[in-house]
Amino acid sequence: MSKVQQALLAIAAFTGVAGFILYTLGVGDHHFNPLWALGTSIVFLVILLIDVWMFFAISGEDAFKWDPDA
Amino acid sequence: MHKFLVNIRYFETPILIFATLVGLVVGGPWVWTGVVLLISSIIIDWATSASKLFHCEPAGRDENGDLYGIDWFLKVMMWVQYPVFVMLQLALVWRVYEFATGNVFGPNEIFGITIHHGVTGWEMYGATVSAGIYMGLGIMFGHELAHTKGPTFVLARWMMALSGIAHFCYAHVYNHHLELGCEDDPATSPRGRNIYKHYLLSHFGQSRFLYVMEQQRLKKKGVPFISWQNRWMRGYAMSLPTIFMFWFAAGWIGLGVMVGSWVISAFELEVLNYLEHYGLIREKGQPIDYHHSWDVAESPFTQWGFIEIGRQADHHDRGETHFWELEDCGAPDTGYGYYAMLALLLVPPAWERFIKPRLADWDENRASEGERKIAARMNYLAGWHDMPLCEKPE
Repeated sequence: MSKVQQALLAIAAFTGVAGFILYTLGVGDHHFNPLWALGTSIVFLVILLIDVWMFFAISGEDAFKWDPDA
Repeated sequence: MHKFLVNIRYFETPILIFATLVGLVVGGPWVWTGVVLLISSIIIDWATSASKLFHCEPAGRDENGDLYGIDWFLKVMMWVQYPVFVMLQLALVWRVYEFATGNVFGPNEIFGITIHHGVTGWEMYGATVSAGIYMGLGIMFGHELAHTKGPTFVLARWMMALSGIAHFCYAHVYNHHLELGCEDDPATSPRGRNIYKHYLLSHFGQSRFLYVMEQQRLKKKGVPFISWQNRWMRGYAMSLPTIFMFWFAAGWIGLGVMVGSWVISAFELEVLNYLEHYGLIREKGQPIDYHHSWDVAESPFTQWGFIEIGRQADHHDRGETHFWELEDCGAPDTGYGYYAMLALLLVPPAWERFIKPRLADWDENRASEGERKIAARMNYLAGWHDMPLCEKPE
C-alpha cells in the first residue's frame, strides 16, 4: 500500500471515528440551536485541519515527487 | 461597438453562474440547470474548437494604443462575483433545508415566476452538482484577484474559502508561479498521472506548501504555529461561515451536500491546473518560458468563459497583468478548449491518446536539450514506451 493510500485510509478512519463520536453525542439533534451549531462547526473545522495535516504527515515528501526513486 | 463587445464577452461565465442560481431558486427540474449548461458548454467548445474556424484574438488595444478592456468595469464584474457566489451557496442551503426538514420556506412566486417548493432526492443531487460546478468555474475570478494585492487579494481568499480552498491564493502565487514545470510545483502534473490522482496530490500539495511556508515564517517571527497569524489555519477558518450555514440549516445532510459541492469545485480547480501545464517540463533553475504552458487560442468559448486564463504563457510571463491585457505568445496549444478537454480527461486513456502526440511534438520542437533528457525519463516512468523519446532512468 502506498503512503498516499495509507494517508487516505487514516483520514477516513479518523473522520469516521470523530463523526461517530459526534453522532453518538447527538450533535445532530441540536443543529437548529445557533450556539450549538457554531460550536459543532468549529469542531468540524478542526477535524478538517487534522485530516489535511494527517495527509502531509503520513504521505511525506515522496508523494509529491515525480520519481521517488531518483 | 468593438470595445463594447470585447468587454461584454467576459460575462459568459457570470451569466451561466446567474442562470444556475436562478435554476436553484426556481427549483423543481430547474435545479439541473448548472449540469445542463456544463454539458452544453462542452458540446459548444468541441464544435467551435474542432471546426478550426474561430481563432480567439486577445482583447487588444485600439489605434491609439489604449486598451479595449475597461479597467473599472471588468474589475467590478469580478468583485461582484463574490456576493453572487454567496447567493448561490445560500440557494443551495435553502434547498437542502427544505429537503432535510420537509418544511416549505420562502415565497411561492418571484417576479411572476412560480417557485417550486419541496425537493426530491434527485433534485437535491442536481442542485448540489449544479452549484458545485458553477462555484468551481467561478474560481477563475478568485484566481485573477489572487494576483492582486491588498483588499482584493483578501476578497480572493474569501471567494476560495466558499469551497474550502483559500490556501490556493498563496500557493498559486508563491509556489506555482515560481516553480511550474518541475516537481516542486504540485499543481503541474507529470506525464502519466491521471486527473483523479492529480486532484488529490495537487490539492494537498498546495495546502502543504502554505503549511510549510507558515511554519517557517512564524518560527522566524517567534510566533507559535497555532496562532491567528497563521495564514494556513486562517484560510480554513474563512470557510467556517459556509460550514455553519449548511450545518445549521440541515445537519448531517447539509454537511454532506456542502462536502459534495466542495469536492466538485476543488476538482474543477485542479482540472484547470492539469490542463494548463500537463506533461510540460522545465529544468529546475532555468527561467520560465512560453513553452512551459499550454495556451488555448483556438477556442473563443473557453477564452471568454475563463477570462483569458488560456493565455497561460503570457500570464506566467506577466503574472500581475490583468486578463484583458494578455497577448498571444505563440505558446504550445492543444487546439481545443478547456471544456472540450475536460470531457476527455475524465477518461484517462482517452486523455493520454489525445495528449501524447502533442507532447511528442513538444519534445521534438519546443524542449531544450536538458528538458528533452527529463522528458525521455518521464515518458519511461509514465509507461509511454511508444514515445519517440523514452529512456530508462539510470
